[in-house]
Amino acid sequence: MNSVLTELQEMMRQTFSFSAEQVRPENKLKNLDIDSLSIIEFIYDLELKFDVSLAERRDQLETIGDIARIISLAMTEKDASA
Amino acid sequence: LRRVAVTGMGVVSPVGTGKSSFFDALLSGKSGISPVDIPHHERLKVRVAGQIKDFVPDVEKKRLGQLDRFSQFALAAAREAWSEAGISEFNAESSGVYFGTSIGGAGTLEAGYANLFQKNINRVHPLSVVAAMPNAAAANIALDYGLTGPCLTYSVACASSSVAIGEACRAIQCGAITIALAGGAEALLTFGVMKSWEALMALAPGDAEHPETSCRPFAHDRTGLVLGEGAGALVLEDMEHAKKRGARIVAEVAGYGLSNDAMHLSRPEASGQIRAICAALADAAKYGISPVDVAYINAHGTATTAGDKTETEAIKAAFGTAAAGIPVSSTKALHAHMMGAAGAVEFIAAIMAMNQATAPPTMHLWKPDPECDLDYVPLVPRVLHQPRAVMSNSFAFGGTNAVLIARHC
Repeated sequence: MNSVLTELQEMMRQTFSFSAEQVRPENKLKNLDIDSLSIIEFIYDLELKFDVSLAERRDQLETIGDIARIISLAMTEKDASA
Repeated sequence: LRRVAVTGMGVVSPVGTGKSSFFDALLSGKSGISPVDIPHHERLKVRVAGQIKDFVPDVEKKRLGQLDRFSQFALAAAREAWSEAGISEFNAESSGVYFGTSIGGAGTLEAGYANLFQKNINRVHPLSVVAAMPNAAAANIALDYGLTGPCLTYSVACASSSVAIGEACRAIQCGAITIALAGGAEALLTFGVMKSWEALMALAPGDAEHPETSCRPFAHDRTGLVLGEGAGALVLEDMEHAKKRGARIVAEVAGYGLSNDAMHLSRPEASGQIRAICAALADAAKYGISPVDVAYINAHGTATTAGDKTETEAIKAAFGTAAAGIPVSSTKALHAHMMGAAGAVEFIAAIMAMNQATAPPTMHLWKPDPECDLDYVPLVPRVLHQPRAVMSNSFAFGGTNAVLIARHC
């Protein structure tokens, strides 16, 4: 979970030029002033990077911490089913 | 009668980005045709194209996912045109975008299909829809410059951008708009699209020893067209508006003629072409231009056997005995067939020929075809004596013929 969060934060800093303050786990995506198309694209990048599917859990992706948690969960589920 | 000024022009082409390097290349005979470098090219029979190999999109990285290559070309051409026009204050609501493309975001579509059908990846890029839509180029231009009037896309195969320019002029002439960013863009050099063209048997197979000479309009040894890519954009403006703000007027668009053959999907038809040329000349007559004023014609000249012969016949019929005295050239020998961008780029070439009083040559025309017997300005540029007007022809699959005339200002 923590390594996923760290990687996610790093990706967000690179993609959106965010500061460390902006990518704190409790921050909500909707407050970060990211264009709606860019969010969709970023989620796709995450899917490719972590090889998971997030689209069906879109409504659970509220904070940065949520995203990391959902990615970890999806990775665990995938491992279990493999 | 409202008149239409050209106040800015921009080009992205296989022979150069920027209108100056583009036109210099046309005059010096520098070819932009080379062995094509795309995934799976080894499976193509036709391996030459007018591919732009050094293009660097000048947009924010985070926006690139929204922009198919054809939109990237369009934005670059539009930027050059808009910057030359130097428009600072304008009425956004009476300003529009009139752009052409034959396919739109072919590369985006094909990348998605490759994921699904080839790589067995069960998803596509999430912005595929907005990147691939044919109106993406026009929409992105409207976004960049805040043009909130009409934002239209014309898809009329090889005549797309000529039609876009012509329709923009009509909108200005009838007072519907004051300013238009008009032109066209194309980026169709993908494996699937090239295979489709290959299957149609319209492409030049490519000269193995000298690939840069593969396109030979009007020549006895011509073997077909060569696909190209790029964009051309013009800022068109109500003449009074342009003069009032002290703009430098590059030229006036003084004639637009349009027709459809309604005969065959792909076979060129002289009668339809003649009607379009004559319609453009009749339109130009309203602005004081007569056929004898046409000092240069940038031909459609794709280098297909039937096309070049038919166009020759049409020019002769439309201009009568005067046709023999008009320098006609096809610059496609160098920049290849840029499809939805061809009309705009070639109209710009014609305007630059007029303003620099020099007609670009038809390159690779070493062996004339007896059936193509006009003055095609073979191999070397021609000095034009105080040219008053020039013409550009675009004849499309689907039968549409579009002809534009520009007048010296």
